[in-house]
Amino acid sequence: MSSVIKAENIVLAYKSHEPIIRNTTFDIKSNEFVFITGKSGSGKSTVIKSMYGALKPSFGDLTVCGVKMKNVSSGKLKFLRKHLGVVFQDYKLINEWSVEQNVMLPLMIGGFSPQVCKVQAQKLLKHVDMIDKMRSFPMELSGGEQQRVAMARALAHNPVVILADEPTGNLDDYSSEIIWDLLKSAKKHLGTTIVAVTHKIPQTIATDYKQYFLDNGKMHEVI
Amino acid sequence: MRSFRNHISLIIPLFIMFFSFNVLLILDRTVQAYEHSLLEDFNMVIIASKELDLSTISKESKSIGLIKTIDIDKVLNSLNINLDDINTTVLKSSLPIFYQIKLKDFLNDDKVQILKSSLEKNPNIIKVEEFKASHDLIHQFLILVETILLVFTGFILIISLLLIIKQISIWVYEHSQRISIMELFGAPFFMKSKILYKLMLIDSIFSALSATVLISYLMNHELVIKFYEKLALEIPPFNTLSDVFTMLGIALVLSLVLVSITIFKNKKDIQYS
Repeated sequence: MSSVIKAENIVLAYKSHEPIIRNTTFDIKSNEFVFITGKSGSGKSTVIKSMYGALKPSFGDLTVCGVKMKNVSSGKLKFLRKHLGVVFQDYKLINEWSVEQNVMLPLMIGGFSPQVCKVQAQKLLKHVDMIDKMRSFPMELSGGEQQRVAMARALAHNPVVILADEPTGNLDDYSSEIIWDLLKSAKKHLGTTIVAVTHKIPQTIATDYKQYFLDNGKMHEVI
Repeated sequence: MRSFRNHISLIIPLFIMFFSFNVLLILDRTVQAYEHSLLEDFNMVIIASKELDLSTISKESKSIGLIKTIDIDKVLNSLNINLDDINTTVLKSSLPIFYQIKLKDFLNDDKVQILKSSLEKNPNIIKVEEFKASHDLIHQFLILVETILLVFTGFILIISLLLIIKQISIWVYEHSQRISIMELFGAPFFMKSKILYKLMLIDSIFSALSATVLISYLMNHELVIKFYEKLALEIPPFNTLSDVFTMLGIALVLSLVLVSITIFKNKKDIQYS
């Protein structure tokens, strides 16, 4: 399998502060389901941020979908982000937009016609069981429902990789299970690579995954 | 309510700015119309020993628009001198050639004197005399008012631009969440900032239109008409449609430039980190 995300001796730091991640190497292959775990403040979210280009490595090489992230230009970053799906603990939905419009966002950015965007958004909302609430606004939904909308948005443009930063951090067990099932289904049926940061691996995932544990600024593969 | 307050905070400086532009435009047209009427009344007579034409005379000044020979018979007739034919012929042959000059552009007193002395340096010109209506005081008053207004408009422009940029910064802050989410999915610059351009454009168009409509109303108001009449000024031609389009053009450019500047200035605040 080909590498989708590859890091070689990367150092991640916020401006002039002490590095959070030090000389870390990892290789995430296509269609893998990868968990990044670790204690609070160990730098899990920092690693995810570097993958979607919100933080550039100070040293080392990080390649995401063939794009070198160290000195990535804003044009290349835009291009890369069109092929990534992102899910956050705080959902990051646009509150002034309806559920349907939120799901349409990556498709609109991709340049699809409004009609195609609508059809695809409705298909995905059906998939995440939110079609009845497509005219609602995010503030009118529960946390679990908002995260399902965020999942539909992340899947809308059929991304190569889904980066999920604590996707179930704010959810109850039932809602969490739905989110993990959706991620599993994306891997299985769409061949999407999933990178999820979590402090607790769900039991429903079974054994078909790879796990990295972050400790003391270094990422170790758990075998 | 907050949205209305936000719009008003932008519309007020925009309106004042467009209103000042309009007043400046009207005053400039008033001055131009007045200068045109002064130009109509202006005449310069040249007495020359040899024939002159426009190409030679225009070397002295580009403002000379016309040179016309004055019919000597008409001059003699107007003088009512009783001369016989022989004496008339002798007189005519000994007289120099008289020319009347019209100017293309309005020249103030100083410039007229410069033109006069440069014409007098021409060896073929014997004498230069100018005839004009003496309305210099009103003209100088208008120029003074226009200069003062220009300075004030400059100040208004600076203050308005600062207020507008401040208001757009507030908008950028209010929409930063939406913009940063769009950025996460690789949205192009214009798509992310569309809402800000739209808001600015709507307010600019509204301000430009209302300022022009108000000026149009004021220019047709009895008080303004009477004021112009008292000063013996011509009410300048007022083309509402063309002025509206001019102001809309300014509004469009202003919206694009100011929003772009503010977004780039606040780029760090709207980037997802």
